[in-house]
Amino acid sequence: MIWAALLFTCLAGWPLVRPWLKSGPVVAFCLSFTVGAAALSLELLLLNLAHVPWNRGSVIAPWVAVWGLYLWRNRPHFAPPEWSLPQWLEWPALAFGLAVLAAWVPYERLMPLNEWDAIMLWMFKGKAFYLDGGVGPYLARAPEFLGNPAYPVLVPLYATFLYIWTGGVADQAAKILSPCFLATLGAGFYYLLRRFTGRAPAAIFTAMLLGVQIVDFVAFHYAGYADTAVAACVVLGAGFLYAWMREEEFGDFFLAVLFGSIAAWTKNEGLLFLAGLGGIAAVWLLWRRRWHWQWWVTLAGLPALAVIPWAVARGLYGVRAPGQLSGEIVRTNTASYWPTLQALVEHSFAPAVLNLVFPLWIAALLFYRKAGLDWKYLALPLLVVWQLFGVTLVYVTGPVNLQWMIGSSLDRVLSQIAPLALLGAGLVVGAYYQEAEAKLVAAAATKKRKKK
Amino acid sequence: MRAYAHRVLLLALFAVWVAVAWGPLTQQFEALDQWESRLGERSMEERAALLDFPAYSVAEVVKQATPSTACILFLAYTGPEHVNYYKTRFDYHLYPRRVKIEANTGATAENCEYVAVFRDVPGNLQVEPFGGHWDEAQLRERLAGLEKVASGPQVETYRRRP
Repeated sequence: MIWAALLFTCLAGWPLVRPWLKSGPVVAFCLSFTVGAAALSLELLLLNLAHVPWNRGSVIAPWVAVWGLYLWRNRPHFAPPEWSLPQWLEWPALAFGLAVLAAWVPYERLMPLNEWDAIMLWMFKGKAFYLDGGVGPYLARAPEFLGNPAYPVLVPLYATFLYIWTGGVADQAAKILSPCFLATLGAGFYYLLRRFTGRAPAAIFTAMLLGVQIVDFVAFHYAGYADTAVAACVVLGAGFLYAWMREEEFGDFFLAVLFGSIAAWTKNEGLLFLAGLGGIAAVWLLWRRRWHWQWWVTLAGLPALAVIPWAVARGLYGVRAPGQLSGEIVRTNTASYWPTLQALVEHSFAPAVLNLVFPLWIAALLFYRKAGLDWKYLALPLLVVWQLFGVTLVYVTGPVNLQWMIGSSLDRVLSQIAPLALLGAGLVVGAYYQEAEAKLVAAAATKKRKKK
Repeated sequence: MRAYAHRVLLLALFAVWVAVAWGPLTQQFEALDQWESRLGERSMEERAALLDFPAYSVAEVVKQATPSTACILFLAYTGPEHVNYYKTRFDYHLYPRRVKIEANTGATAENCEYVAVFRDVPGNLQVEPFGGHWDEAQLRERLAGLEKVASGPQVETYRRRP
């Protein structure tokens, strides 16, 4: 049953993603998962606010209408997908990627739901919402529980959807949602690199992404957490923003704002990311003098959908943001800003955890002009720095002990940002590679002409 | 050869990356083997009971003995940090029951008709010793007026007599 629910999730996301993508069906299918999970979780919240009971019928019905509209507007044509054997440079990437998956996928399926944040927070809320048939009873009882009740609820409500579909709290089955978000992350990462650099760099860098230990650890060991979903949305939001700035197509803009909004619907770090992405997008729209309503309605409407319904639900039950932020804790933590930065640097440059992501990211930042990229590229490193700055800010203003918080969460939070840093590096290396390949092709053509 | 330098560079970068990733990946394969031999033959409930010991088994005993509307006061002989740990576990496993947990035999909770006496396993108490208030005589006296409804290896559950 869980597989049918996952398939339905992709079908729910497909009409929102497919029309804007310049890719084959496999990438579109993987990206559809995260969009579908966001749409279904939001649907559950809206149904609940409208006092419509949750059951399979009430959840599925709107998607029948969406698909009817989609098929009416987009006449289906069943062209078989174009396949070709991997090029020789892609084979080692494929082999390494499969080795990583062979180490992690059976491990995730073997382990029951057991990790702290999943039990205390994400999957707990999902279970509570399902058993209560709504978000209200849990929110009304929020002070009883240790978890943060105000956190955004994509993951909990998506788990609720899986339970509605399967007819019970199948938490071990449902925690597969994290590896599914990793599929979105990997496919989106590959798509963006392939679009701007070509097949070989895209394949190599996607395999490198899977070679970042903390990315795998969070997706498979911490299955049931929200961090992999945030990582996917950060990469896709920033990547499509960059694509839009390069090619100025509305589809890329729509997808950038969509994934930025989904990040905000997933976790507080996502709210910060949406603010950064929205700020850059607004400045760019003003600078390019884009006044047509579709840009501004998209930029305002999608984030509003991600933020307002949940704020309304929380407001109804008086649930506020967490923490008793005492003056003493703020003073202590503010005095610790420098050690926080030091910890951030130490963790960022730990090869066993993050491989060489951040050294490579810095090298890419130094050489992007030489690789032939223009200043629009800076939007990506700017968002990386924005997120890193946000992390330090959250830590020093947090309501709990700084050292404890850094020790228990910094690597996990960096796992949300590292894929974007690696995407930036991949674009620079890929641009250099693409230019060199173009020279090779031109030289071969000249040689051929001379022979004739 | 210089014309192919970019391909060599890309492969060299990938090789370095794989070399750095190799250690953690090998460890993960070893971990997979170990967990496979420990858990592979067991059902998912048995795996949860093994990994989340003793919280899962204790919660199961209490769950069987109480209705979903119940409020349960756990009197827990466990370390201070473990109190929070068990609170989250019992909340998860026993929802929608209301769970209160105190490392104090004199603790009370309004409108809680069930009392569960939970004694943590020696291994956990060695890691973090008990730091609350525990008086066996007080406990015996308190439980004398209650009806025992279930017991397991680490927990005994009582209900107020109607």
